[in-house]
Amino acid sequence: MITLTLPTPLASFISGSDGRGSPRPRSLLFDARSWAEFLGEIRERFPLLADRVLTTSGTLASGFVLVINDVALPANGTASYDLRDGDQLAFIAALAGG
Amino acid sequence: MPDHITFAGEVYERLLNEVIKRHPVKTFGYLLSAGNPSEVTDFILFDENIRNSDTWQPEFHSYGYYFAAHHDAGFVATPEEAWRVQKEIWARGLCEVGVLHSHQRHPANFSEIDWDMHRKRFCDLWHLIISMRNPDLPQVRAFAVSDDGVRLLPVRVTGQPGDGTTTATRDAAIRQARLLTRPDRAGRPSLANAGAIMSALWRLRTVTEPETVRDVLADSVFAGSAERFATHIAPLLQPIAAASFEMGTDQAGLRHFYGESPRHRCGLSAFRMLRIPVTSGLFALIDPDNRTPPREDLARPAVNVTWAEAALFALWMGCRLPTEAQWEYCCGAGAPTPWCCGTEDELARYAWYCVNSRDQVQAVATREPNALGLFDMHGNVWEWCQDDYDQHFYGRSPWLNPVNLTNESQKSVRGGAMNALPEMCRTRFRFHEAAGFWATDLGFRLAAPSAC
Repeated sequence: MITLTLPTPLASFISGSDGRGSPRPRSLLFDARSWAEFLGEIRERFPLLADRVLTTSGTLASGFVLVINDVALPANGTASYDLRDGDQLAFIAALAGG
Repeated sequence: MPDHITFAGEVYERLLNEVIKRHPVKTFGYLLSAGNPSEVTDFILFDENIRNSDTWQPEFHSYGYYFAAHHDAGFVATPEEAWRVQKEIWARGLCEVGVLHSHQRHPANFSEIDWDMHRKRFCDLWHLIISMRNPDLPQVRAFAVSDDGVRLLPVRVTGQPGDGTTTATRDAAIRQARLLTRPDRAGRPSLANAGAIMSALWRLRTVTEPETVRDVLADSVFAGSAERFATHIAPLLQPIAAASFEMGTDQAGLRHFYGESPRHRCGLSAFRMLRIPVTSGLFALIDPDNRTPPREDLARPAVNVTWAEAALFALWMGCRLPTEAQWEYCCGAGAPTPWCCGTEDELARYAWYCVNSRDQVQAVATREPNALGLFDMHGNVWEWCQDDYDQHFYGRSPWLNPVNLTNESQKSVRGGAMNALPEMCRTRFRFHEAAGFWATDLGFRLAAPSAC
């Protein structure tokens, strides 16, 4: 089991009929035991979120950070991560602007 | 998305103090709330910026010359700090409701890069920009941001006193106007009282008939305006024939620009427009003791001028500030293109802006005039207009000679400045400042009725 925590801005993509409107961070449980299984499950259950934070090739989208067990990893084209049962994940935005 | 933003006074003051303390380093962070997206109860800021890293610098450079030339323009949080900040937000039991960042040189507008980077990451957060272009008067603007566009959100601060506005009686309004418009020994109005004078004249016009206004002005410091006009202003005026043109931007082209829609047909009676922004040398006539510039600045536009000072100078010279409609027509000469010249490639021939000014205000009329014979309509300095700013005005403005006069505190400014991005120099770009604001890139020009 993998736990994915989403901050408020990204939690907006998983609640309600249109995937928007959550005012609070959310924690989600996944049965996945690998990155590939995680990708498949997140795309099936939360397509709006997956479209936002992942590229079509399964890498992290530019502008987002993947946190695995308290280690923050930037979007750098990595296609796979070593995930294990009990891992704690989070997607967060890398704040940016002009 | 909320329809306004409310700050507790203490939070607002603490935020501004922090931005001022960090200036000229850019501030960026999140606005936080206990749940209501319109009520800011706290904020959290970032310390590290990797905008110039190998990963991010090319993306910023892709937004044009300004971002290539100014390595302090733009911000990206590090992954480590993004995570540390996130955990701190959760520890406080709060949630993110808005993004904030400061501008060091530009006004508090929302640019294309802001729109792109915000939409890529967020769908429900609004965005606050704090401009430090005049460090004595930080500007704070909030924007609702979505794929459909950008909308200005009113910012309210609780726990601050009201403006104390009272309704003047007719007699009191006349007394006050006479008192404030009494000439000094040199026959000039007091620039220091410009705000009070313009407010008094507004109240006078509101509570009395036009004949009374004329009587008051006839005995005032404005009495010699016809002579000043003939001597100093008339030779610099360009006649503009009556015209009609398409004002504003249609919805399809609006993108992140707000207040420019709906595009609508606008008619203008004939008038005259100053060919150049009011120069420092010209402006010094109203206050030679304090406003006479060094010789090398005489031909540069007058800057650090509030709306009231600009309007007072205009009246003293027998003119007015141009309306937004007059200004927009004069800038683009009625052309449908974003700039008078059609393409951005040609803009440097007509404008001093971020690609060619070295961030310095330049002498007027040192670029080419537009098709109407007017100089510096794009860039060099922002220019005050007569109108009170209302982002919804285009939806209800009259067809002929529109002007929005409601005595609001926000006044329209146009044209961009020497450090502005090309998009800010567009003919149809609308911006606004508080009437009491001044800055080193903010000037004005004059308009007058047609001579015939």
